[in-house]
Amino acid sequence: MKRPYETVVVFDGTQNDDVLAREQGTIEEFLKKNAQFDKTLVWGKRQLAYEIRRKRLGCYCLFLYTGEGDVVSRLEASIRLNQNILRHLTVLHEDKARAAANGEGGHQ
Amino acid sequence: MMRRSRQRRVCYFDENKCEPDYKDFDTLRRFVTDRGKILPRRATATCARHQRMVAAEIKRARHLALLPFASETLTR
Repeated sequence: MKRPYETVVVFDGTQNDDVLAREQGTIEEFLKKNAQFDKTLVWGKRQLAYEIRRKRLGCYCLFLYTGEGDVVSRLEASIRLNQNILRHLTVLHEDKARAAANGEGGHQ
Repeated sequence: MMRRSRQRRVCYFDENKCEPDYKDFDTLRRFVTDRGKILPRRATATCARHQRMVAAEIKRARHLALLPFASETLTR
C-alpha cells in the first residue's frame, strides 16, 4: 500500500554547498526512481541543539514523497552509510495520510 | 481565608486549532523547561490527547537536534 511519507535529513553543515547539493540530489534521484517524489523543502543551515559527531552546524532538508514501505527502509539503509548525514527521521505525512484515510472512509 | 479564583484554562492546541508538530519547534519550546525537560500538563493546561502528542513531537525534535535533551550547562 502506498503511503505519504516525509523524511527529514540533517546533513553535515560544515560541508560546502556543492557537496550538500549533490547529496540532496542523490536522495531526490533515489526517490524519483523508487517512489512518487513530491518535493523537497530546504530549511537551510541551522545551529544544532547539541553536538553530533563533534559538529554544531546542520543543513536540514525535508523530502516529501509517496511510496511503499520498502522504499523507506531502502532509503534509510543508504542514508545510514552516508558519512555526511548526521541524523534522519521518516514519519508519515500526517495531513496527507489523514486526508487519504477520510477519503477512503467516505467511499465505504 | 481568601479563595483564589480559578481561571479557566484552555489547551493551547484546542484554542489555536492546530496540532503539535516536530517541525514547529518554536511552539514546542513553550512546553519544555529551561533545562529542556517536558513540562507536565498541569503547568501548561494542555489536554491529555495533545499532551501525549506534544511529548512524542518533542522527542522527535530532540532526535533531530532541533530541541536539546538537556540545557548546555548540564551537558558540559
